[in-house]
Amino acid sequence: PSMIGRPKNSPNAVFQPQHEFKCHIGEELHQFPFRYDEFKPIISCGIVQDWDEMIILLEYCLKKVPKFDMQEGKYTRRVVLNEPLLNPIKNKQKWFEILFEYFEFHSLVPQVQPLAALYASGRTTGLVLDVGEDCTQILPVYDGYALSNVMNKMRSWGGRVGGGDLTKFVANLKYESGWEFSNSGREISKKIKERLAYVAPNYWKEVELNAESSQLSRTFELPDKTTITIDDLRFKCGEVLFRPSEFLGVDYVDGGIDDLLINTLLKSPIDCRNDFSNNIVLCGGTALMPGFKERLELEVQSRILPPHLPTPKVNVIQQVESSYLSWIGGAIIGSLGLTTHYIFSREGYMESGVDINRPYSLNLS
Amino acid sequence: MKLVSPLMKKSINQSLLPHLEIHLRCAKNLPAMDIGGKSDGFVVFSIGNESVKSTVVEANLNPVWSDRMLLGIPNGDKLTSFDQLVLKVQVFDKDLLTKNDLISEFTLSFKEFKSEGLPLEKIVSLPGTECQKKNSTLDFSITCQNFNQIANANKPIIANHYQVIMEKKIEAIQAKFEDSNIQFIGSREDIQQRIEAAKKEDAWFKCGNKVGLSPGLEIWRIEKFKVVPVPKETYGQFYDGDSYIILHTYKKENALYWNIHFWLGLNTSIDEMGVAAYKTVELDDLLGGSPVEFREVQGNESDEFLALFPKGIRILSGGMETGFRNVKPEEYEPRLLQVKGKKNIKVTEVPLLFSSLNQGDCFLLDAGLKLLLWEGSSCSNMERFKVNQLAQSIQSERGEKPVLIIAKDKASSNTSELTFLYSLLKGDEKDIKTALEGGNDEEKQSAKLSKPVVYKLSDSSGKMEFTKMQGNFIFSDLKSQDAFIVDAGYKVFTWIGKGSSQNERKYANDFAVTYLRNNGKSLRTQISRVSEGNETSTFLEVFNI
Repeated sequence: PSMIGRPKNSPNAVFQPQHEFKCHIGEELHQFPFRYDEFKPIISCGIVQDWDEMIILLEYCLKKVPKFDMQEGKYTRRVVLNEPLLNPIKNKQKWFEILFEYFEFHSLVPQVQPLAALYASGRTTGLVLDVGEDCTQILPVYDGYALSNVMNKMRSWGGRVGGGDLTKFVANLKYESGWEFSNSGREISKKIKERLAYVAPNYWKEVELNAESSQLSRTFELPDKTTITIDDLRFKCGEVLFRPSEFLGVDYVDGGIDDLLINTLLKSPIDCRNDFSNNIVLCGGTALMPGFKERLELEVQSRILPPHLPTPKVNVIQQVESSYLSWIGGAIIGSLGLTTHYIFSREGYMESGVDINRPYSLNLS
Repeated sequence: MKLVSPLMKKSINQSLLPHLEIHLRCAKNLPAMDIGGKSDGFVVFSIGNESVKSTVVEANLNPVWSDRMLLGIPNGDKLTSFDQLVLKVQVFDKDLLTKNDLISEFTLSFKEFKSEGLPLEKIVSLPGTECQKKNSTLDFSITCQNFNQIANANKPIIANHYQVIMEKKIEAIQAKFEDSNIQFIGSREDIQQRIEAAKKEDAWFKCGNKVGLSPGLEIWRIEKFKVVPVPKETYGQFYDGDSYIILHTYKKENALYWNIHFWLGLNTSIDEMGVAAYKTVELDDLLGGSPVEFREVQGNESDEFLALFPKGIRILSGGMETGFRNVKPEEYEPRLLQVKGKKNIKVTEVPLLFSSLNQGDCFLLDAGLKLLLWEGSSCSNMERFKVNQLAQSIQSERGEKPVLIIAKDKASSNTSELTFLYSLLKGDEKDIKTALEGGNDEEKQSAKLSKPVVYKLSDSSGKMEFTKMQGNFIFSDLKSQDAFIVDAGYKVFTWIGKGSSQNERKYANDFAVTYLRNNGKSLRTQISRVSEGNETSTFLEVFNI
């Protein structure tokens, strides 16, 4: 996870500026029994909030890359910037600044995440639904062109619910029922979510079934070897994606993922709708939740009827690689050599600054 | 029975929404509406559009219900007062074929529900001429739930700790379409940019000319992130492990039209799929955006695609390797090789057992990315030399260089890597035999395995013949017009002569597998293909050259 924690009682806290503390990143947070300050999210909805922390995180990640030498590599390597939809231009410029001026990489290929995911699934036409850690994005693409006019029409371009919210939901519900997880609580909630949660085809049937019998309940072992029983939480957790305002609070006004999908389908040009409903590509780790694909198909099938779609033929594609599909897409585009459109070179950037819409790729030999 | 109104059904946190809980008990002396002098009564409670219906009690003038109904209040969480609201109660007679008959109807104002949580018991004498004649009554109780929510309507229903996070999220999300990264997608500059990029791909140009300028077919295959033209002779032939791009140009009324198909084999790798899709879009851009793109998956090809190949398409198994680096050390089957001999040193594969080891010979344990070189305490210098050579040739063969570990004896076997390699061997360390038990080096040499076993594969007689070569077979006996299968003990080679026929080339590998199977050898034994004039050093060593 993209989180940085700093131990609370650092001995030299007084003398050093904050960013020079010893800090623990990502998985390390669960290995060291320190008490940390509150975790600050570095990235929120795919948009970087704290650039100083981002640099620390990037340096840490680059150290983990096998066979990558910082000193040598930075002048020769190309970086694919997999950015979220509607990334503000200001934010993008900051990325350029960091990658070219601080890290001094050779060249940069910006790419929109859902589009990269679509290529990785071997398609040029489709509707990409990317359920990320803290947001959901959707992008209709026809023959390799993102239909940005559809996005312009939408009231909201994506939901604010993501996998992280499900984790918080689990943690919150467990907290209310008396299980207080401390530092590693997030991790435990995450494990409960990943192992046991699913999406029910019909929520109310599941509620009745759960009330009548205990066949849905499963036990989960905590690190201290005690076991807890999880029953209704299993399908409630999945249901959060579909009815966020009722589970998470009134602030989640956008409606569920199914609403988002159906809205986008109906806003798309009528001659593309059939192609889109036939090629709904799922992406992101939460999309791998059992039952998610079936539920989406059911929702679209039952709610989009003629005349909006002549013969509703719905096909949702869920792959094993779904959780890192946009990464694979980025990797493919990065390996293509010099023929990708939009390559920015460091030389060009240093000469004339950045003009994001007029790339210098043509100067690259 | 519990009955729930639609609004309540939608909500998850039922207990938090403002609603009415209604217990319907009984009605007395209902007027008869049906022919038989009876009525099938049921009651509907409604507020605005929201309504809840009781169960039907058939053929009874004094029906008794045991219904518990939850009736949600429309826009309940936004109401500031409930004075305007009116609860409507309707008693019906259920008819099968015709419209339900309304027996009676009355309203209750919300002013009567003052205290929350306490049930309001009601026995109402029903209005209407028929009902008043018979003195009919309806007995029910109503409880208000969560009406304090209405009083504090401005506060959110759930006091939640997501609020802080949400505020941050909302800030982050407030990016406008106009100044975001996707505003230029599809603009004229963007399209121009894409065309320029497409011009840099060499595969789209033939002798300096853009492809697709004359009617016909053109096919490319994706090979390690590159687009490579397929030779004309093999059009219609596809490997199921590959992805292809097919450009079909046709003329209609003196104008050119294009269809671009990208064909994905069932076993194609994800990077090939991705590149095919990406490059299809690129070709589309190059041709001005007018071509139609088709995605073809093996087995589900479109009619337009199949019509391009009047002779039909032929699907072969196999294909290019993935462009992604693909090392899976965990999946590698470990093997143990014995190096033994004095003059003619032989390498044989032996079972993964401690008892296979002996102090008089050298052994190489091959576990994919790790090689353990084990030298017996009394092995000969030739064996030691040979095993090092073998280890080096294996190292240079693999893309990722395996780590070579040398163990003289078990005393130096205390590092963790060694214990890992030792764990691959079954049995006990005590099982390691002495040099004497391992047998004499000379003896081994005279054994049958010291010579390579060679089979000839020939179809010169018109029939495919697979014969074992007798006698002392040497390198110069390999004949150009045939194919040979050479078993070196630890590895099997197929040697393809320059003048060998097509069938011999094609089936050499299959015969090698059959040979392994028929002789009880492990099917995982490596099979290498060697062609005449390009023999590898390992192959030449088999013949002591």
